[in-house]
Amino acid sequence: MATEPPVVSLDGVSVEFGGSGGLLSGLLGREEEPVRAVDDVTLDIGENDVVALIGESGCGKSTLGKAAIGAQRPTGGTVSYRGQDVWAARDGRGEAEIPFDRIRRSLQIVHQDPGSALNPNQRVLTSLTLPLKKWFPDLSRVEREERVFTLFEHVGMTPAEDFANRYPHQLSGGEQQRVVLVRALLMNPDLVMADEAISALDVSLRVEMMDLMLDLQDVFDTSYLFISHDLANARYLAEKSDGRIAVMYLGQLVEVGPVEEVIADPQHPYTQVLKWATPDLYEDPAERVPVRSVDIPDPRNPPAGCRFHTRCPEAREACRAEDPDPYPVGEGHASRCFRALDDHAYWDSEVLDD
Amino acid sequence: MSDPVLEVEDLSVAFDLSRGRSTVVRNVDLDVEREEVLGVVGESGSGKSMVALSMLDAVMEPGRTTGTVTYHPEDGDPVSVLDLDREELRRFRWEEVAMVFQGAMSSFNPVTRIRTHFRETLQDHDYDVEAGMDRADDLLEKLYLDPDRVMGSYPHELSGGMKQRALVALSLVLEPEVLILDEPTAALDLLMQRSIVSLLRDLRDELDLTMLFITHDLPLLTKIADRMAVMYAFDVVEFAPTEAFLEETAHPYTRLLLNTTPDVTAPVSEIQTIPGSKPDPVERIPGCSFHPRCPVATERCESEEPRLVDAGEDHLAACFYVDDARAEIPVRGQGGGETGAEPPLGDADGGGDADGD
Repeated sequence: MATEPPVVSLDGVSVEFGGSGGLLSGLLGREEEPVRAVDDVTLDIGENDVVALIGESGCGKSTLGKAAIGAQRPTGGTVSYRGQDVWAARDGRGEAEIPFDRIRRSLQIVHQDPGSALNPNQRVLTSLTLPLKKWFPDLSRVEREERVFTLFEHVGMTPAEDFANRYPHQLSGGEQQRVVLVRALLMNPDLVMADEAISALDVSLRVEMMDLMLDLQDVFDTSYLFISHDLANARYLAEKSDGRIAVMYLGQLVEVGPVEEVIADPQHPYTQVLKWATPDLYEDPAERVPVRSVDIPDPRNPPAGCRFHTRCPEAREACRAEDPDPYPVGEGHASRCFRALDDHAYWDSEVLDD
Repeated sequence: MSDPVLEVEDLSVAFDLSRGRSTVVRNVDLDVEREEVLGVVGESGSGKSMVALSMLDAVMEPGRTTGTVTYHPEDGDPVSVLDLDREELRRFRWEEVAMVFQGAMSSFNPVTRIRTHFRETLQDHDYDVEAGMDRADDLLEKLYLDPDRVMGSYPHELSGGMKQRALVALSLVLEPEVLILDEPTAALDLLMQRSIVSLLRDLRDELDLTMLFITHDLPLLTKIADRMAVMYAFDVVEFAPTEAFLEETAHPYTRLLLNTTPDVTAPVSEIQTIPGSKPDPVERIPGCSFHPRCPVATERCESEEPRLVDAGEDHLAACFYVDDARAEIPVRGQGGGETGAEPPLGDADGGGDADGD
């Protein structure tokens, strides 16, 4: 059996912002340091796959998410959709087997703030049928509306016609977010990138929304790249779908693996710290802050060597000198830390304790 | 034995809207004991921020605050906060009770260095500036900040987490008795949230502070609070010492809230949703405001409003059926309870559509 290429494949992807060429800095004669928001990330997302991407704000997770759905052009590496280089298709380079607009339709996005993702002056029915009209021109108006109503019933927004004819401000936050999810899924996407899609919802609605996403995954055979700063939510969604957790720190993926392993036995010190930072109701973690510095370094000037060494409780001299690669620590599980290697010079070098 | 520093009685806050009177706090009674950390948890719109604001008589126009808020200083006569005049209120607000809000970004003047914020606060309140600035440096250091760097910075030069910690230091520089924190960590990252909570707890122990900590983040709150107050639909439905709150939870809403809170170790199958949706501040639900969503509600709950009743030591809950709730709504993490019991789903017609129009 020939292996099918993954739905989305990121290979050595980097995204840099700024640097020389900015108008303002040019005028002021200033040299701006570019920010490498995403640095050499490799990740495959398969069919019906769920990857929960977590990290602190400014770590580059949203930029990586946008790169994965072809909404952000990488400055290095390639992004492929089912084997087709997304940006080659966009630029008409080579022979594109899959046209760019089909790629964009197959890769959808759900934002954090559903209120601003919907046109406030349009009934939600209009917001939902317009993209259908564009991408499925053969459908009649009645057929388009029926598709919307069917999905509304599926997500529990009944009577569907009544809800569809409302304006966004006549819906609660949870209802708005369901509308945005419906809009993404109407395109029959292969991958939905959900960027902090539940963070703005009330605690009691978050689990409901995640359950709905998983329920719709079964209906639509879609994959999710679920971006969150919250490990507990990421773990819930990934574990219910047998997915993976990917942990990002200052532009790099520091740990990727099956959710149970990453949660029960995190390998990277940063993942361990995130787990400490996620309080459990019925478990008391250590009292002390387990990092050497609570503040994140400036992403414009990331530390040399391992990027986490300035905060890492396990850091040694070796971490200052050399940037670790992702090392396998289990089946489909990698950690970007020398501690994964039994014979690395790390073990013989001086402990950092500044 | 009880020694409240803040005493709130029959507190209500209402706004008159074109579609009717919106009551966002309803007849709340609440005491904050001296040197305790009282955690107030509730979903957005439950009224928790309004309770905090009304303790400083700071509810914005056209909101109307009624009831009494009494402040008991360490020594001296009790103060009726809602009767203070402008000048008295100005002093009361920073010197006796200080408040830290969610958005540290907007609490600082963007064109003024952090040092100036500290100096002006000390001057305005006629404090010894030099002694105060020394105290400020000390506070910043305790919060893992470099005083020289932070004092010399403009707000935009600091990260969100640094600004929030600088704001905590600023709120403590006049040595208030009570610190009210309203979602102080909501805009921050996980690691920073947890770190700030850990640092606040250290500060509390060192400075003998009283804290009122308000958040929707239940797991985080249980790591700092000595006692919990749960708000639902504009009133407090349960008070309990934190351990009893987790182990002998009394109110059905609190029990369901614990079950819907994801954490990283609970089996995912035991994380459940709360049926129905939250009530509207304009339409008064007759009887118990939680009855449309409650799995143990009876006819009585539809017409009669439950008062707070004894549910254990220092433990109160506004429910007629605390024993039934404990027996019939298993909470993960709590021992006992029948494991084979059906998960509580409530009535499907609970109210999911009721707020739709």
